[in-house]
Amino acid sequence: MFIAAPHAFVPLERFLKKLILIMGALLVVAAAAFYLLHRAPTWRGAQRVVVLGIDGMDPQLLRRYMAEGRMPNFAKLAARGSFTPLGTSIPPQSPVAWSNLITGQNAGGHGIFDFIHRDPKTIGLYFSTSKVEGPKHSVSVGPWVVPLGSGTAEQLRHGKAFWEVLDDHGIPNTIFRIPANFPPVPAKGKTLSGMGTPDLQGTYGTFTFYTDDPLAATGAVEGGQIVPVEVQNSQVRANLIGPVNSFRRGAPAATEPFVVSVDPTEAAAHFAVQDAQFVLREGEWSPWVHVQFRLIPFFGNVKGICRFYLKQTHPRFQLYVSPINMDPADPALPIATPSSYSRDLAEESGDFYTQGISEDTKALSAAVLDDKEYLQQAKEVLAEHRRMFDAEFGRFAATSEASKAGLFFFYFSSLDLNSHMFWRLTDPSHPGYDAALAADHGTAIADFYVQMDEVLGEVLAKLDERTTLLVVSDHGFAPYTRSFNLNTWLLQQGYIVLKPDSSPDADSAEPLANVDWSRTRVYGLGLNGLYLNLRGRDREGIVAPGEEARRLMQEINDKLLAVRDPKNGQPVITRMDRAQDVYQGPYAQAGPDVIVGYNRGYRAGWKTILGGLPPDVLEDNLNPWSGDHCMDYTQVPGVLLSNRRLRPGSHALTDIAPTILAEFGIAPTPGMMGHSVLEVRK
Amino acid sequence: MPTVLHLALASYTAGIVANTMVNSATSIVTNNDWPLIVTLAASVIVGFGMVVLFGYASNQRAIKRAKAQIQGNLLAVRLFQDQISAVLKSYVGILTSLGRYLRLSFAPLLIVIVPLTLLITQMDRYLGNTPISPGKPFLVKAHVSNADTLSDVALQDSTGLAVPAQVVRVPAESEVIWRVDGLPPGEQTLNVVFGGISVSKNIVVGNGMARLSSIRMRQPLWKRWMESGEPAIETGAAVESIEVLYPPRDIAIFGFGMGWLLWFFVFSIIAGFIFKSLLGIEI
Repeated sequence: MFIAAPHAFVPLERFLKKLILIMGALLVVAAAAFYLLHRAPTWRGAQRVVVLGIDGMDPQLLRRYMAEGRMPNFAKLAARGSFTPLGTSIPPQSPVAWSNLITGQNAGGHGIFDFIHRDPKTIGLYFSTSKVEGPKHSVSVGPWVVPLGSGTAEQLRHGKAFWEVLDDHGIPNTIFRIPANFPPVPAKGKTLSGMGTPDLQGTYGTFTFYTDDPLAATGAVEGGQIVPVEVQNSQVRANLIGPVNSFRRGAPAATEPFVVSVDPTEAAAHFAVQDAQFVLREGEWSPWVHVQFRLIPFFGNVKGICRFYLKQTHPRFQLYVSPINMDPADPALPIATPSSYSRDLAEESGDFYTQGISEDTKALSAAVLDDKEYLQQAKEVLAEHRRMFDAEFGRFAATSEASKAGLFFFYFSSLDLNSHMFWRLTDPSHPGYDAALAADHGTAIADFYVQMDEVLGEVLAKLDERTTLLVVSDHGFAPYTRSFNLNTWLLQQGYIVLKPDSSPDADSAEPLANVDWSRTRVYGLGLNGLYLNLRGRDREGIVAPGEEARRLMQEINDKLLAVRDPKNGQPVITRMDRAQDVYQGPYAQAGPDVIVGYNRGYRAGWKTILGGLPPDVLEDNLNPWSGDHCMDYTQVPGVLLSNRRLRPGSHALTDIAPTILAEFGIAPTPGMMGHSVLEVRK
Repeated sequence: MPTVLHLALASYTAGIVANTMVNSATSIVTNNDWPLIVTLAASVIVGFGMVVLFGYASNQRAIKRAKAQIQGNLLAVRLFQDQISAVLKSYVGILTSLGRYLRLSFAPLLIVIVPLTLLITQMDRYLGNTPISPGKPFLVKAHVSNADTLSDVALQDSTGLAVPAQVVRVPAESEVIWRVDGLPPGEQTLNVVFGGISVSKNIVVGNGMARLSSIRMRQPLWKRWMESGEPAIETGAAVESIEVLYPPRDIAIFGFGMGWLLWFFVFSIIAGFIFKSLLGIEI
């Protein structure tokens, strides 16, 4: 055993002590300096701004409903303040449009060109706004996989959000469910992510439908899955399908069992889902049910919430289960800033849909829910949003100190998704029109507009002189009666060439399956995207950049603008915008080469969007998704209303961020394209 | 300078802690958060009582000696780590002393655990669940002896009128389940009627704290003591048990909510350690 002579180390010990003390003091001074330099200045202004973001509010419909007296609050705002169409994004798709609004830049600046993007090296498709990935490295031990590191959720939108600029200036803000903000960018204010937020399966929403109907198609359908079950002794035993369990080899979906006991004669059933028990009658929705998916026994749980809808008990069992949403009280991925905000909202207003697109349009399209059932669900979504709006706006309006109020932004999705789903019932010329359904639900869109009017009424009642109100929609709406299968047209015109001895595949999971890339010059992906198979960029590119590319684009441009619908002689496409002409910024070359602007009533077909090759170039759209806006952007402008006077001239989504900043006396940040739309106060 | 910094940091931290505690205490009192107050109070009293009981029931000198021997052997392991035989001998000593310590603690722990278990089951009647919220739907489950008779089982109120409810019969479990769509506040009685025999079940509707009995059953006294708070169902009745599904109660502290029992264990252990030191009792 070694025992050191203590005296020998005394000077060293003293020196070390001094060194530690000096280092500590320097650290404290450095930390204080860093804090003072980087802390946000205290905002002392009296200005407040309220922005209602109403996705898909259409200026024509708004004018009509105002004229009919259905929207008195909007009429009052338009009369006393301002109302004008608002230039939308190119293309007019929500993630692109809201990114324009958020950053004050177009897609060349923020890099969002479509709902889906393609990787030119693989032609693989991915969600444009975010990327969620598991850990890069892992070790397998028997059936288990041990991750080495953590997974990531990355937002793909570039450019500084207007509320980040407000944060820099110490201006309080609340940003509620704005699209293209998942995972939310780090912020000092309260933000909740919106469109783009996945469900627990990592999709935009996957429902499950359980049935014992032997005639029902089973397996995956678009936006959901149909699971066959058996009713034995009046009981159904099935599994809720949860997130992928990356801790298991092969990454199977985690499941949790549940039992439904169906009354032998009555149209009702008892449900036992983990600790929760409830009874539903046929045609009833459950409240939110909490479920924990066990990824690792006794250790790793992921919490979700879902709702059950008992569609039928006899003669066939039919049960719809909503997509499993992240539990707002304990979300598996970041959905809010501060992270406790979603929990606070749930405690105050109850559980809520956390997935970005809450209305289950896919279930209606797949005929799992009928119009009445879907409408009920969509109304509950809006009721949920209105509950949270009441609580949050009430708090904002009650803030007595103006400098603590700042900006309040609230997003409503209902007009957009329900205009998509119910347009066919407002238009007898639509191929999906059904007179009987129209009699029951023909006013659904108008009814949702009226609800927006009620929301505006609540705001107007609490508006004071120092508060600027902006009501903004990202685009308008139009009928979607006919589908144009762009890739089929390109195939017929010889721009897409298939491999020898292969046939077009409309339903392949792989985009543009069977395509011979060594002879293909142009292809379409996404709702409005047209891409050249460009040498040096695409994996097997053959079109030379420069003159050859320019000539090819011109040729395609002329041909597509000349396409007529044989059904009515109408042009199918009315605009072709080259990316280099309409985008500015560092990502201008990262998206499609040409943006296809479809005529009113036309849109890219369902399969062509994902690279499918259906047999017909043009076909009727019989999908309940019957209204749309992914068209010629000049035909679907949004709306802008304010309690203030607008500057003369036309305005666009890219003006909204500079407008908000200007209200707080902040100049637009570098890259912002627009200007304040408001007249200077006198 | 470091001393001043340390003092400033310490006082700042103490200020935050004190402020949080005062805020929490104020919130508890102003919100009449009785479940939390009762849990905290019971934890302190039980922590004290258990320590005192353990002190009386145990051989304090022997426990002290066993613990001292464990400590001595641990010290020996550190001091003589280069002498393998001494280390091994000390390990044997640690294990022997540990065994002795566990033996000495077992009997007094048993004496403590019995009243504690009985106490917890009774406290759970008040703290484990919340009453049914007025006007809110809830489930009532009746388990019967013969699954073939499920259609004949009815739910009535105290005046003999049928209670508006959605029924689900589950032959596989010999159960009838009713979703009662809401009752007014107060202590209510529901009757499950079959073959002319009526079995009553009390239900508490309201807010706050009340003594709740989730289930009425036919089982023997000990089982009813543990699970029920009502008289046994008569042997002649076809109904074997009636259960009301009261919502579980979460008690939140600093925004973190969990069942009362977990808080009780945490706080009673803390209280026990404090009282052990104050009273000089070896545990």
